[in-house]
Amino acid sequence: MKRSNHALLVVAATAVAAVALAGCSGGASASSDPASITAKDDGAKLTLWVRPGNEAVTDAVVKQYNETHKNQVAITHVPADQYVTKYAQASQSDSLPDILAADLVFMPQIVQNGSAVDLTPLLKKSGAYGNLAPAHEQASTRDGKVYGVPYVTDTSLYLYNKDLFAKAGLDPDKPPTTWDGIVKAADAITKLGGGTYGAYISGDAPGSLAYDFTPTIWAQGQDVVKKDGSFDFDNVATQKALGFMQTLYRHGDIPESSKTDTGDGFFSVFATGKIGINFSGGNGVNTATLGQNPKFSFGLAPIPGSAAGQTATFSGGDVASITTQSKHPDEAWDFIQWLTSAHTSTDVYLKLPALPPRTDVAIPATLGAQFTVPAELIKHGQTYVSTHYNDVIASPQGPWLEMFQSVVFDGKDPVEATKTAQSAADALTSK
Amino acid sequence: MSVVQHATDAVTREHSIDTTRAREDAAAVTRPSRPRRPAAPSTHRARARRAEARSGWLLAAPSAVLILLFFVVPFCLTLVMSAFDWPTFGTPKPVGAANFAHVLSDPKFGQALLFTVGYTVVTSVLGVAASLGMALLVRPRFGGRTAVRALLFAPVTIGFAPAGLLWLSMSNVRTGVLPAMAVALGIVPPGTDWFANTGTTLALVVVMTVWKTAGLAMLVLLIGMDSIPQEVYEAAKLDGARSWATLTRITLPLIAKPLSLVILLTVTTTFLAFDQFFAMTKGGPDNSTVTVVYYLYNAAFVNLDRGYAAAVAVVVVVIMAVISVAQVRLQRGKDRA
Repeated sequence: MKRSNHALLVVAATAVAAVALAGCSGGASASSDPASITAKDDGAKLTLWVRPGNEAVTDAVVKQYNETHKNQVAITHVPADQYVTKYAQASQSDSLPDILAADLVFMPQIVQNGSAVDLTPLLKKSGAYGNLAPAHEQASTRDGKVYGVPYVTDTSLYLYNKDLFAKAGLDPDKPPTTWDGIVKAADAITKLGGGTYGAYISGDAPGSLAYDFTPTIWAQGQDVVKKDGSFDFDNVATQKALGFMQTLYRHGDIPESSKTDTGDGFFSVFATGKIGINFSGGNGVNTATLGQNPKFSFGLAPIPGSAAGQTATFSGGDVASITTQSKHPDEAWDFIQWLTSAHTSTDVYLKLPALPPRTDVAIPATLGAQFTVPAELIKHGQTYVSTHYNDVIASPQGPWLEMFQSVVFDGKDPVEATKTAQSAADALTSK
Repeated sequence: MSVVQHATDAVTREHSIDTTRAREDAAAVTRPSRPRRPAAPSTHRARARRAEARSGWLLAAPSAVLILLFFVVPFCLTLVMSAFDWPTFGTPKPVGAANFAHVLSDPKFGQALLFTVGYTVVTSVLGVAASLGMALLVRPRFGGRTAVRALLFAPVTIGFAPAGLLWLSMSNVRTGVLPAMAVALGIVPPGTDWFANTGTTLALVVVMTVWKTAGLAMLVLLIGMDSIPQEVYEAAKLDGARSWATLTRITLPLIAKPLSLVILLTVTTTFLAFDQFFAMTKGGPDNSTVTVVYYLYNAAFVNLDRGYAAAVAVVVVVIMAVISVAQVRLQRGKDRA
């Protein structure tokens, strides 16, 4: 009895294993041919995935499409920190949505896996090609082919509290343009006391740090991602940028709570009116309470490098693509074509108002600095193009966050920290 | 040997006699005529035994199928996967024992293991102590006893993730009620962020875990305590035993079984902790609160490296098996003594 049980078990296990192996080898399905796609508005039900947080843009835009079209798009919000995991699972079970709108940093991975349809000829025909936010297109391009379009555009910069600047004897109309300038201003504002701090950054949110800390490295002319998608941390520019943040924290200009802010304080801490300079971005200014009902006057300025004249910005947001698993590629293209048209940028996005996907539309000056400043920055926006963004940068256990935290909050030597991060990143990317 | 010990021994003996008798009674009810039946021919008996075996298999089959489908097969699959480089996208490649070599040589796994063991020891000791204390407190009759018991049990009814999120928001440095109270009482200076420091972070998770789990353990211990006959306590009282002696010489020895069950369950569930850390710390600060299951999660769902994650899972299963076998052995040893 015992023996036959054993044999049965082995047979069953082997059979299941064989089935599983066979199933897994067929991972990504074949890509659809863009030549056969033509825009159709025939009342199809389309599914769209996007991360939550930008509903004021993502949902509002879809609502406008649904109101003016027979096709109907249904939005599913997929938690940002589990986006890749959910995408990977859906991709394997052939259940991806028609339109996948992902944080642009995940696009290289999605494109590499063959999950997105090549949109190049379609975009060239529609006239959107070359007129879309450059960082979004850079992230969606592989071997000269474009697989995605901007859906939500945004760019990193710093916000500063003009009231606190004035109180500390600084010129509210001349935001600092160097690191030294930032440290001096932050020191002066911290000295005001009463719980005010000179600077703030969401220090436990790896994605936010990629967004608002990387520009201090880029501004010095240093790339973070190499051509082959591996990372370059072990360099002087990164060490200097980390040293700059360390100085701010050492001076007591950044509150201790920054170390544990996983992103919930990205705007809300600045919104209390007790922060002088907030490394963040343009989007929340419009969608958070800040832009609608400010209790104090604030300004926006580009994130500088160590020397005057150096600036850089991370253009972030979401990229929309048609998945190769979509049963309605024609209808999905109808949505994408509408999304990237010049009139959607002017009549839908700018009326919300939100930063538009197109870079060739004029931003009305009446919208104010909170739109004109980022819209100008987006034209030179940079991003990360690596299939290993998720494990090296976005993971709370990844080398990127460890490098930042160990130097800035724990006082580790930047030279040592960048070396550690380099070998950890190489171990992940060499797999 | 003290008087109290005598009393306890007597009761234990009486108890065991009682249970033996009860078992015999039960047997008599289910098979009333068996012993008295005249001996049947051997073929008859063999057929009956076969029929019995068949119905036994039939009755056990549903569970056996479930166990096969959801435990045995997945485990075998995991074993197979652990011998492959199995990316989420792309074709798996056999790599032999390379995954295991990597698990055992990765210092981060070592750190995770060390942290998990530390966390398990602290949480188990505090958890068992708290549940025992709670059980003793709510055991005597008093007005509103049921309500108090229900309140202490209430946290058990919610999941670890919502409980973690609840404590996370209560402990948030900017918006939480706990830091505000601590500041108002002058315990900590304003702006102190408990999640910025490994010690306080761990303390919060331990407190949350104990708060969330102690109710169930308390219930198990209460049931154990309720089965101790009142006469034992009366005898002890007559012998002049004080409350400490009553606790250590009567209550504790007589709830040894439920207590060891509580310890076994606490250690096992604590060792496999993941939800509370995922919800409350995300492994921070400085990657100091990454448990072995969190490490496994990162391998499988962040790095999308399934073969390696399978190898980690196998190692965790082996560790768990060793811990559980050791605990059961210890328990058996105690029984024999």
